[in-house]
Amino acid sequence: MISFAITVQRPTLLIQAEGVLDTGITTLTGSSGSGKSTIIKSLAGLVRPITGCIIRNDEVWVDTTKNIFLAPQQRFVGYMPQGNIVFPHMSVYHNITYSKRGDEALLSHIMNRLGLGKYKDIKAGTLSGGEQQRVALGRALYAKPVILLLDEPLSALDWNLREQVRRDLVDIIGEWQIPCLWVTHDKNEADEVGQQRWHCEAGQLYTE
Amino acid sequence: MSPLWLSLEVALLALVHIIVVGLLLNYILKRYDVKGKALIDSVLTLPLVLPPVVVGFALLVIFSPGGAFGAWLQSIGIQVVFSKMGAVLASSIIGFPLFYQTVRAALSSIDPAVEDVARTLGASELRIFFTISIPLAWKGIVTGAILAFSRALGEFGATILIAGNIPGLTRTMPLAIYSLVEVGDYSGAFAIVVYICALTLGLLWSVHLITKGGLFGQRR
Repeated sequence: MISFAITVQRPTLLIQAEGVLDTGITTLTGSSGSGKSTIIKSLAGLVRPITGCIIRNDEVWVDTTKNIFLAPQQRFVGYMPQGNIVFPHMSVYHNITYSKRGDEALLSHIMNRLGLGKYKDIKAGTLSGGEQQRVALGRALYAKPVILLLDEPLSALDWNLREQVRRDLVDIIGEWQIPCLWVTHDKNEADEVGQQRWHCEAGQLYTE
Repeated sequence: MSPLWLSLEVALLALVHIIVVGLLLNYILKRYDVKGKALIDSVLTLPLVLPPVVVGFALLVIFSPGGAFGAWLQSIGIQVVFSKMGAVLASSIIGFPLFYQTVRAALSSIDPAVEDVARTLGASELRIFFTISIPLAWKGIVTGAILAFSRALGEFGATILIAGNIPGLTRTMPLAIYSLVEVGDYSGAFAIVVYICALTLGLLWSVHLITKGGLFGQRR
């Protein structure tokens, strides 16, 4: 469980967000520029809140009153940025095993579960959008994340793929039994996948 | 040593220094929020626009055994003025901005999200630089290296002030051209001019071969 209450200053927006993430999918909707990506990046440690705290179980990730700020390297978050970015110059195998946290057993489980075995030695940058997304997901899962942060995971895919990929993604996240924050601007997508639904508007986070 | 081989040796040694220092400074300036970044960046680019003779004069003032630093260097057995080291130093400084700026542009064109993902995967900043930033910026790095090497090859103004024009030691191709013209040997000068034009043209052309995948730019 991850709880947070943070204020983040962006050039054109002050973002205030408070919430609790439990196992399962929480969707976060909102128009572009409303602060969705910033909330995700704050949880990942890529953006530093001006005030507030982020706590995972008993571990303090951020506490501005005590000047605590855990670097992204120390948080064990699985982050998939917008566009499902892979390391294009590396093979699928080297993408997935980029983190040194996983092991042989986890690797073969991920390869089988995501159907990536046959792409093992192919350069990730040459794969299709849907395949790249699986690589990005596998890479995040191999790092043994305590939370998954997905920034518009379906937006880079062709329309005809989205339905299938979405169902797969939901199934896999369910198997991993960890909290997942799923950012989307698609209200229907949010309703379909979210066990908990959040909304963000003009920097303000509304949790239901 | 003939001016041709001397030029190649000096330019190659300069290139090694340029690459090491250029990558190091790019890493530091990208990674850390250094105060006065804009000023540092401008200073590093200055040799590109300054008359080389000004750079040579500055080097002469700094390294002349008549000065404190130069005298100290000489006391530990290092002589920069009127030596090959002086020629390498001059070429390094004049060629540096071309490498530095080209690499900087290539590094800043990388989507920051790629490096962000690597951070969440637990990779150190140094590991990210070597396994992600450099491989993704390799075209810029190779282009910058070729440009800097070509520029170093043609260095004249700074070299003649700091390293002098000593045959076999610091007389590189541009200095040889100057010396030959001075004594009226135009055909000798012409031969070297042809060498240097062919060499640098070949080098610049090879940039296209490497980065765009074709000598005539038709392949993609």
